[in-house]
Amino acid sequence: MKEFTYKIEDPNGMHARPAGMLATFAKQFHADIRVNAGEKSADGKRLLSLMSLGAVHGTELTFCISGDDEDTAAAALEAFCKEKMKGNTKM
Amino acid sequence: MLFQKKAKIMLAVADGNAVPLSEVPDEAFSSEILGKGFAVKPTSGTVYSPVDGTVESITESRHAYTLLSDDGLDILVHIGIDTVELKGEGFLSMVKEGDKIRAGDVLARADLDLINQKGFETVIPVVITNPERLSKTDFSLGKVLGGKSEALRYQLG
Repeated sequence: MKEFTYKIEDPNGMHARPAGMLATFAKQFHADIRVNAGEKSADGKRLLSLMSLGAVHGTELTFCISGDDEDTAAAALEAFCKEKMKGNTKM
Repeated sequence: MLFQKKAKIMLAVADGNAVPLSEVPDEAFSSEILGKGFAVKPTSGTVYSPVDGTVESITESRHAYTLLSDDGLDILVHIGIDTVELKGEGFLSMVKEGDKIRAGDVLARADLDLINQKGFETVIPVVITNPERLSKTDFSLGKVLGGKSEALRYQLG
């Protein structure tokens, strides 16, 4: 299993657009992708699940990725979070 | 026959004009990157559930509702564009997370005038975010009544 953390920079938190973009991006990998925030855990490939984390600005997300393409998936997801989830796009 | 499986129905979520997602002025919706669906340009601010199911989550700003339909579709009902920035102003939730809902139940009331005044679009995209489960979709666009008119006829794969 691969793991990394990402602190939400988007001032509006994990709202529909970032959740949707992340889920859509995550779906391309075979690996199981869990996104944890405190006590809550979400399926990284489901927009609804990610939104129900209720993660706000500053929440630390822990990504747990396991499967045959976990190395690729972890690296790609970490880069995706850093580049695409800053909150310059909103929804 | 062509219709081996029973066609299912999704209702329009508000009174107004149902349009394709491609007409929503936001690429995340119009490019269908989030999923398939339709949108309603509302003439009235009462927002209805399109399906029987469960309210999975409501954003803190009360403008977005995620529903899990009884037949397993993940559905996002998003009132207005960029309306996360209103931080709840102009939105009243009529349901809570975890509520069981029927198609046509009221999800929320939105103050369309206020949303317009603040400079936001009021269009309501309804997006099926696990579209891989759909095998067939047939949209009924045009003038619709919220919670009454059929907006989509679909079959699961």
